[in-house]
Amino acid sequence: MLLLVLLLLAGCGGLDPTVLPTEAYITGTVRFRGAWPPEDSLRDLRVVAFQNYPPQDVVGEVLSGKALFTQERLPLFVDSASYQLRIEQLPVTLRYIVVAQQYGPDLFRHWRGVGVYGCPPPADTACQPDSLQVQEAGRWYRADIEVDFEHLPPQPFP
Amino acid sequence: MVPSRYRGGFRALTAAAVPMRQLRWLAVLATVAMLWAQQPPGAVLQLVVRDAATTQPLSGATVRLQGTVLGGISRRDGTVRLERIPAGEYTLVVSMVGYRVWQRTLRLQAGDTVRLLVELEPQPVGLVPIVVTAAKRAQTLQEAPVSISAVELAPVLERSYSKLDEVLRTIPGVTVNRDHVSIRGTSGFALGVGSRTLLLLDGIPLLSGDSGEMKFDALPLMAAERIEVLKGAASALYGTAALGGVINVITREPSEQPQGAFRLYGGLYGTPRFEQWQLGQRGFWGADLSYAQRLGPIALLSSATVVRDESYRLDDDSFRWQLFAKLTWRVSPPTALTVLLQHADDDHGNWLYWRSLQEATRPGNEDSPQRVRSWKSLLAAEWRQFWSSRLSSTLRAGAYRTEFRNRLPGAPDTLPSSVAYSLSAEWQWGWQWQPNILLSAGIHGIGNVVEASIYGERRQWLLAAYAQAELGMLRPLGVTVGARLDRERMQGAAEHFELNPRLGIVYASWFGPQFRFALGRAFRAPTVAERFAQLRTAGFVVRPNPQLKAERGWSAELGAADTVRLAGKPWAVDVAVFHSDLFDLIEPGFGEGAAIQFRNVTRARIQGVELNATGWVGPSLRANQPGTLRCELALTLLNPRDLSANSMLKYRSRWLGIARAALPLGFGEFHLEYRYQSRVERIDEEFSTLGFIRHADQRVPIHVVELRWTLEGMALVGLPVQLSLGMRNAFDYYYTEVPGNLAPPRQFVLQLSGGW
Repeated sequence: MLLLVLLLLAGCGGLDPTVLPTEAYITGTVRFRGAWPPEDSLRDLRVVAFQNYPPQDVVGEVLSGKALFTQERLPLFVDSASYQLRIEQLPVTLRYIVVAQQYGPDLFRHWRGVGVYGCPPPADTACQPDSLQVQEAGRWYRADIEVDFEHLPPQPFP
Repeated sequence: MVPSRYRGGFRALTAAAVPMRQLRWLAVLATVAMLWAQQPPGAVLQLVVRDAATTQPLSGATVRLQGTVLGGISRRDGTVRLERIPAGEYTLVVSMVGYRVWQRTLRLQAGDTVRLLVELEPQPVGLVPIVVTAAKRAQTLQEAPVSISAVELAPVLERSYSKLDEVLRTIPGVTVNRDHVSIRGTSGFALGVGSRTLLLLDGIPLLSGDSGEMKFDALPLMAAERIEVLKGAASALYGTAALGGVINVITREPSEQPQGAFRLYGGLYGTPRFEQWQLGQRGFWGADLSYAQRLGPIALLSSATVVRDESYRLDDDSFRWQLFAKLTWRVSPPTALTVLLQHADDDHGNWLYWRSLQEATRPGNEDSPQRVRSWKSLLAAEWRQFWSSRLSSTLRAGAYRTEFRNRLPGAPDTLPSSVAYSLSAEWQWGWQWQPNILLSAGIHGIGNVVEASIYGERRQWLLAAYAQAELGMLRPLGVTVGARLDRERMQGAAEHFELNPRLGIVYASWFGPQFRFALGRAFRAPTVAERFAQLRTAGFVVRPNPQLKAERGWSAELGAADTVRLAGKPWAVDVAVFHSDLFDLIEPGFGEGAAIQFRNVTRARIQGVELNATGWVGPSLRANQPGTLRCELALTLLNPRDLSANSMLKYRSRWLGIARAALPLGFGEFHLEYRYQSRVERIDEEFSTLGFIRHADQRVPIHVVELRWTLEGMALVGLPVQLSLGMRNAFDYYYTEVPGNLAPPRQFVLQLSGGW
């Protein structure tokens, strides 16, 4: 009974305006067009957001904290898929957001970009990817990406 | 032969010197009286209804003769008297909440006076024995092949509730997302537009003609006896909008004794514990009055309500009032005419969403605080005719007018407004073809006539025919089959037909449990608002989409109900497994230029399980004796999947739960209720990505506790009054049901109610 009275007096939980979110999110839909490559060349498929453009590679940039990737791989052989990226270090400018495919066994080298935010296919070398300035904690930012496996964008990775 | 008491009265009237115009009225009244008086005297039925366990008389039991409009309500001493019953064979049905239905076949001769003692057997608490929504006719809850939650209103009104949504939140499997009612996860959130649950008042549709929206404040709760919530597809009987289920508000039947009731309440919102949210002391109050009486063939039920709410949020206050009247004229034993009149007026702040989580009690559009004035009026009539003990017809017609006007004080009158009429006419026939075969059929027309600044001038017409057969010859198996064909036409949109079949099976097993199975198809035609809305308000731009198609779905349910003994007490237990497949669901989405548009985008599947248990613990044989603890538990597990996006459907929770307990204390009762909703997993991310609502994704699970202490004036001071002290959201738990809308904090409520 005492516990009940204390709880009634104190209130217990729920939303709290003094504990504001410290992270932001990028969300979007990846739309796929064209014929999918063979399944054995789809070892991994993720959205990767880079601070640098052009980036050096995928894994190295992620390990050095200069890039983020989706926690789960994107579904294969679908028309579209939604994704989310959690951004904890704010503010940040993401200069290159790409759908990256690991096409070979080498985790460090066998990656290529198949869809770029701001460069819908067919994209030529003149296309400049869109930057996304993520500044406000608690906010969701949108970045939709189109992928056409038959018209890949210019490759940034060496 | 005119009875002497009428002959004398007629002579006295004609001899009086009164003006010609009044004489005409008197002549009409006299003719009516003579027609009534000329009915053959028939038989008389005198009943005494009492509790089989305690032998105490029962007040408020419903008595009816199946196949006629004859019936009554037991008085305080348990007596009921039915007169002028034509000779014939009847089934007498006596029912009351908390007791098993009592039935007996009687053969009556003209001039008979039959006296009967009816002893009702108690059953687990809280169960409403008779429902009307599952088959468009009165039947026991056990006969219905679908899940129905039937809530008695009298205990609910002790909680100072004044709007339908407050009641619906307490019903298992039902959630309310601001203006949207979702039964077992079928609806999300679209500011009330396009309800997937049909709302009825005594069987008359009550969705607005423009947006297909429920107006929660339009329902006369003070005059209502119970609310029935049918869970699952019901278009085979009800047509459009019954995709997720049907809510039917059933008003009371007056008895011969005058019954008056009043309710006065007032409350305060607790001061939020966060300084950022504090706005100073704010409160609310309300008053209700109702009166009901049957005078011979005429019965009147009326109610009036007024509510003022200062709100716990800035620019969200409201003032509303409502009047309701139901007049029933039993023209003859097989014939009754009922007229419903209702009007509600509401003036409230146009709150849409918060400024931010830090300023959750201030509106996002504080710089231009709009207000909304709305009016809701209903005129409806029902003509019931029993042509014989086997054949009956019901003609129902209603006109429901809704109007709203947004206004900005001091600004020109160019803000959104709409006037809509929803017209409905239905002719339903029932034929007891064989003792165990009941056939029903009907035709139904709905017309929506809209004139609005934001929708234009629009007309929508739905015409339908339906038929249903209830086959009971395979007892203990009961089978219901039926179908309804609807045709929808709207200017500027393609005409279409919808065929919605239905199958229901009930099986009373030899080992105890009663099993039920229901399968049905349902649809919802797009509303005028979804097709033609074009407006710009509070930062949002809405664009029309005349190409919208109807949304459709199939739903199936397998359920079992039984009474089990726990610690020597009977507990009613009900389990249901359900599955719905939904196609072309209409959802608002953000498109080009961040404009909102309604589209057929979602293919969905909703699966789940619902468990309800009702009973009591304690030493007493009766649930309402001091020292017994009445309990109700309900748990719903949902898996609402958006198959188009391969994710959870927006604005749905996975878990819903309600636990309720009441402890009678001799001079009153103590009540506790706990309501739980797991965190909504997905919302429209665009509210945040496009910067409409700051901290739009701030949401948590819902834990709401309500405590209430009711004192009975009769036990304390010998007066028929009741005093209730309540604390809503007792733990002052802060949550949202939809983005940017902080739910009410702790509230303290004091209510005085009574009746005679």
